[in-house]
Amino acid sequence: MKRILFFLFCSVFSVSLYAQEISVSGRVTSKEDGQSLPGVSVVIQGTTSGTITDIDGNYALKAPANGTLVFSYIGMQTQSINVDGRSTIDVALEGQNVGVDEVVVVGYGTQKKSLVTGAISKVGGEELSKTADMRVTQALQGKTAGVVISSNSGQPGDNISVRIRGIGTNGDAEPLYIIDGLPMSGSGTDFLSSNDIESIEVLKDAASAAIYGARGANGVILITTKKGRKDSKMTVSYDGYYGLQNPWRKLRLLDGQQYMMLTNEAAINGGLAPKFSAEDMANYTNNTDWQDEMFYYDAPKQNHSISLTGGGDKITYSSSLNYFKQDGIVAKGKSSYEKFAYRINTVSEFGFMKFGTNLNLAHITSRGIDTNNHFGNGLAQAVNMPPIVPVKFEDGSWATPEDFGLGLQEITNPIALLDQLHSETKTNKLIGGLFAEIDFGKINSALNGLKFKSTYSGEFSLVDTRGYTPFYNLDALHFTTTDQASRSMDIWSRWNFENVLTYDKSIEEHHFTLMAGTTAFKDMHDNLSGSKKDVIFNDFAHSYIDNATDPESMNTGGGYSEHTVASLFGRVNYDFMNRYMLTATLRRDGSSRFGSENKYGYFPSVAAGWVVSRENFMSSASDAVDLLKLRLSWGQNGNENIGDFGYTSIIGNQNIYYFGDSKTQYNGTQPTKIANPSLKWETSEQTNAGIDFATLGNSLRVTLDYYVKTTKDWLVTAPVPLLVGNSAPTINGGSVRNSGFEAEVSYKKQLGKLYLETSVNGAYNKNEVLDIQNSEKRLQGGDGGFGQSGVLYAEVGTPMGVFYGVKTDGIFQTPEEIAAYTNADGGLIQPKAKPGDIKFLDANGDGAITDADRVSLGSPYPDFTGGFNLSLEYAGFDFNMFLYAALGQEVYDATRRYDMNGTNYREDWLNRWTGPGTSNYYPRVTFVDDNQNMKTVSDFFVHDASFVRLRNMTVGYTLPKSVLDFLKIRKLRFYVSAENLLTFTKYKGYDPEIGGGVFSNGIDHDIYPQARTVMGGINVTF
Amino acid sequence: MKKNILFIISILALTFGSISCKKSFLELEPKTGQVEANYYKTEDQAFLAVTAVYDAYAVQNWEFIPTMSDIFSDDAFCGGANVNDMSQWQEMEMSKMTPENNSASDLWNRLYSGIYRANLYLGKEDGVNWVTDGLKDRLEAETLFLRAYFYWDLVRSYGYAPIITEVLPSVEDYKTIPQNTPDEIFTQIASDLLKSIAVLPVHIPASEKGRVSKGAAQALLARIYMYHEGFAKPVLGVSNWTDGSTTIDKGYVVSALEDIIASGEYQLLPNYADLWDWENQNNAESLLEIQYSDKAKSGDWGGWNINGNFASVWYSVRNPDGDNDAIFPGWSLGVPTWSLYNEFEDGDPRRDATIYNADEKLNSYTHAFMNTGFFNKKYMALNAYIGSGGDPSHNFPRNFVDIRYAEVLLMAAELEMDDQPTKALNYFNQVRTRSLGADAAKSSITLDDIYHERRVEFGGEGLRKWDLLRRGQDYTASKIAESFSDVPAGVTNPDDFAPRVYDPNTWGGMFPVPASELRNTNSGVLMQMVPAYK
Repeated sequence: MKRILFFLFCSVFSVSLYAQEISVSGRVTSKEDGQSLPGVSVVIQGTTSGTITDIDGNYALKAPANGTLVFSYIGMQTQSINVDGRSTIDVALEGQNVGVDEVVVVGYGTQKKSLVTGAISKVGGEELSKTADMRVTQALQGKTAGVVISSNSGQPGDNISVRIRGIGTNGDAEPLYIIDGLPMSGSGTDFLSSNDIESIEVLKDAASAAIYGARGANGVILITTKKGRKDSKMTVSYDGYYGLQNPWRKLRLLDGQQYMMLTNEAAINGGLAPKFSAEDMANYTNNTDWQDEMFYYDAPKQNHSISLTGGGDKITYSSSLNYFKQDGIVAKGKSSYEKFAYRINTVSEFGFMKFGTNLNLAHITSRGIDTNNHFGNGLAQAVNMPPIVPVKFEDGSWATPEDFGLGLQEITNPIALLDQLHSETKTNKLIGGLFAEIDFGKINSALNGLKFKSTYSGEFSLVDTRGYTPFYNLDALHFTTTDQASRSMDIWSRWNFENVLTYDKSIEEHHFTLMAGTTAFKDMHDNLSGSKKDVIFNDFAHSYIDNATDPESMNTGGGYSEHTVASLFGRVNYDFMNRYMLTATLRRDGSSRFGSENKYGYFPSVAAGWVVSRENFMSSASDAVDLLKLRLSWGQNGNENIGDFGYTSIIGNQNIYYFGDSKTQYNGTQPTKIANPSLKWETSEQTNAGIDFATLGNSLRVTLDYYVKTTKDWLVTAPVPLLVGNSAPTINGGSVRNSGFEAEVSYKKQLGKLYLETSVNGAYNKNEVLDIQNSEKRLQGGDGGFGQSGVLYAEVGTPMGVFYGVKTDGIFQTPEEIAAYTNADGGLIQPKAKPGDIKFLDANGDGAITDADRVSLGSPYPDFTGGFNLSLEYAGFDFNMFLYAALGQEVYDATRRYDMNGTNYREDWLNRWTGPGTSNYYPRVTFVDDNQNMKTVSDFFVHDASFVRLRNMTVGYTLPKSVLDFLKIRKLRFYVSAENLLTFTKYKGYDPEIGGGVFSNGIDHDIYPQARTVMGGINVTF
Repeated sequence: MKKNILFIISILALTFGSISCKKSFLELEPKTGQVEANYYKTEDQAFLAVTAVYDAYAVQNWEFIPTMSDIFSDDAFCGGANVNDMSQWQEMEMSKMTPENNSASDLWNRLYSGIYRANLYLGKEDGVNWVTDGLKDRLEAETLFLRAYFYWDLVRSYGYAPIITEVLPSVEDYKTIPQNTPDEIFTQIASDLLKSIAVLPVHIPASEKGRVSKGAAQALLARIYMYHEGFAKPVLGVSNWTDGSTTIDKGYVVSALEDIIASGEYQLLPNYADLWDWENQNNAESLLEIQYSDKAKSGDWGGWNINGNFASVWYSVRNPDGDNDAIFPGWSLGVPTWSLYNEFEDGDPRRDATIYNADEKLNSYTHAFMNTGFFNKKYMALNAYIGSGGDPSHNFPRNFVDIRYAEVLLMAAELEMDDQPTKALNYFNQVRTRSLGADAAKSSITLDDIYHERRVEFGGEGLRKWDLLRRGQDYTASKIAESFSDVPAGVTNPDDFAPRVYDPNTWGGMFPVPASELRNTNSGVLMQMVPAYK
């Protein structure tokens, strides 16, 4: 240790200055607008001495005549200028993003963008902070080609689905997130605020992601948080907004009279007596708009961040404090999200060593309701509730459908139900890490370019949910016998230890970077829960288990699980004359999730690039072509994102039975599922070809990529017959190919006083299942309406998940049409049909309508996704607009509970069949659906859900410098912004954007929609 | 300088080395739960494995056979909130089942899960370190009894089904396993049942209540024989019942029943109503009960973890008000018919023990679909027995009485009526006079007398459907039709009682093979054999 300190000492003081000094002064301006830049740090290279420009951008200092001045300023490219004996040096600094050779974060390192051989998309922090999304990943929507992002719901804090280059697995298709080196799941990113992000890199092709081996099959999202800049003045800034959110659409439902009319008609058509007499119809004048009752109009959303960054010669720091609060637009007071977050990043240099720490603390309080569940508590209740039922009777008691003779099972007064819902989740997170880096070059110049970095990072999250169920009695299915206090605590923790050795060497025009490393990763989950009944208080505030009195009712649970991964990896980057590039990687991963037969997986990749524009033969075109680069890559990744111990059988003990006079409980045992000892890694193999092109002085840039990605050895829980008698094993069972094009075009130009920046990106993806390793070559899942199972389906030749049902052919208008619809033997194909019922197509020609007639009816995945960005700046005003389009996908509409008689209808049902020629789409309404109009999974429920959405539009104004100087602040900007202002879609449900797992994606059970938000904000920098 | 480099390099070597070499880092053992390879070694583990087989007999949740049987028969209507509530049962009641019917797949699932657990145990028992004398034989016999019971449920609910008697090496093997005929399934049942009868103990001590006795197995044998003889032979066309060597004929069954009676293990309780006292479970009249309790504090609507009597809440009244708040609110499913109510003779105390007359007892309640005003009093949910934890609906600690001594007597009476009329009459009168008094004793009996006595004795216990069927499809059809013509003229909801027409093509209300099962096995291996679903 002493010796290390000695070295530090040496390296700090070894560079001493003995050269001749002269006075140098000058003015620093911004190249973009010619404005002078105050606060720019001017440092003599290799020393700690320097100065900072004044309010007019002027500086003056003494410097060696043969020295070099380094000009650095946040958001600008650092410039180094040789003094060469001059006494006046004026400098114009360029914006950070302008140069071609920006640096891109790649796995375990960074790389010059011009030398990147893979398909990596970068989104800068500035871009991300333009939208007010809670999750930073949501702000990626439409920003990069080939990354499909869809919200699982509009509930504050809810997860989003991210799909990079299509669905490559039947299992968890979420990418791997690496936040400052720590591997995370997508849901774990909630502690980040978009103001904290330096950049997000999306590693799309296998060669880029291969360095993450076993966990990169779905792509990798690298998130780098902001760090301070060396030699920069302390900057304090505040960003805040306040907005109001509203639903952008209400469904058009029947009013009370229309509802009773249609319900009566349905009863009569079913051969039953009308539900409502003329007297009822006259008496029930109530017309509850259940949607209005459920929606929280003008729900507030606000965000405040204060950040502090700066740095000296040896130490840089960046910290921020963030407060975010959002109320949901559904279920006022029961759906909300509030977050306090603190973050600090520091890096200190210590001679040949560099130390960094980062620490994030977050405290999140959230409340939620069911977001897309037709049994649950949410909009599904509101949409199905009869409008004749009031919210409360005059005496103040809750009204329910049962009070009106309409027993609707799970459907009851949703406002009354919400009133009984008391649950709050508090999450406390601590995420942080330490790294140390040794630059051997600073110890001995013979070792120049050799660096070693060791990083230890971890997460500790405590998720604490407390609940109270009061004593209530709404109707036959919604009541409790006594109140109950409950609590559950989960500890999610993980650590990652990473050691990387890099060697960077140039020999003439040959440039190598060699990298080798190891990681060890472990994640753990502890949980503990309990509940107890008969609480001595009747409110949520006192709902603690100690206040509950019934000892018999005590219920507890708890467990632990863990998972480890250990890896070895290496990479070679080689380029010749910055013109020809070659990258090769190899990673070996071991995972605790596999048995000894297949514990380790090997994942190689190679990539090559050619910067054609740097060739001599291109020199004549160098004015026209700023960059032309061709890229080609191939690689393999793995996926181990399955549950633990899939390779063996765990004995479960929940097969309970009782013996003896006093009924002693015995926890009977059996394996929880069938084991598969030969379970192995899922592997994805991808080939990528791309072109990068820049022209018009780098103002127009185009990136094109073509890829073919094949995922094989899926980890499948194959559908096995019930005959097996236990849950199916996980097997390696199939492969899928995604292929597609991606294009990104951007243009930026200063046109006089107008600055224009625009970009368009688009991606087309084709998904095709190549193989499914079960005998029926098929996977099926997903529930539609009640009793409609297996709505989504995949088989060889189809995409990974298509809606699968019977095709309809209009409505039987007359008995003759039914009689004429016969099979080869003359028998009726739909013997139970009556005029007004749906005619189903007998696809397999067996003369009857059965499950075997189901065919593909469209896919929930878009064929094309794209984004369009436009930014304008003029005389202090800025305008930003962002459109997102997802085209070619379908949604399965399971919004109405057709299994119950007495639920409300959409207004469209007024166009139902009432006699020959009245409708060829909406069948007759009936209580007795012998023809299975509404139970058959059919294209009646499948709708085009293509949409184009104006995700964000912002108008801002930045105060001119003269005013700011007077106010002694560096920057002040006001803006007004609108999110989801316009949505163009043919789909009539709450939202065409319905994320979810492979077998729940695109099924609408009255989804909690995304809000339309209008807000005003301010950015101040001191 | 060199020294320092060496020093640093050795640190590097250490960090790299320590991670890459540590294989045990990746070899985790589960911290909760044991691994199959280390299990099935001790007697305790063997006992818990057999407990899991019992569990498959008990957890009948959405496909409770007794309830479904009564709904199908003339004893109960489906009821529920409306015509679509529990549509899987409405479809069954109306002979409109489709292969997508949830009860059809839930039942199939439970039975094969039970068979799997039994097969798994039988495959593992030889690896157990047995210490206690006779324990292995007894656990094996219990397992065989339960497996026979699962196959009995399969054959009477589906007719044709694959026989599986061991855990197959690969899940793929199940996709080609052939469908067996009713004849073959009956043979399998006979084989398991006869083996278990030979071993099971006659007496079950108090500390072991709930475990299977020899008497239970003999009584089940008799019950199956009567269905086999009366329904399976004429309708399914099966031959004599045998396990391959022993033919189970009338003589064999009569001696089994006589064996039970002679054992002295069982008595009729003096007072019929005492049978249905929740404090009097596993009583002297009981041969086999499904044990239900609130101890597990179940709360799983999905299915497999309901360990209380779920049927209690189905049977109970919707929103009851009155009767000193005795009734826990339920869903009014499986409501007794007027036909059953009218079957009771005047003054038969069994009527009020069987049927809860809500119109008389309550101030008000919700009149749900097919409301008759009657509810199944034997099993309906009572507020006094709300479980202490979990979801109250799932935790009623009311055993279901599967086989009781009165049935043994009435089966013996029926089988011996012609050959041993005096004996038969004695058995019959034991049951009848318990409730109606000695004066009500009959001096001679007909089959109709026995049928009447069975109906009033076992109302709401799930036996009626099988009694109807073993007198033929025409008899069944006419009795079901009668239950609809018995609907009183003045009811306020006559539309609810549009007659359900018995469809003989369903072979007595058998279920279709689940659609998912046809999808998930190889094409053509499983077929719909019941004519109604072909």
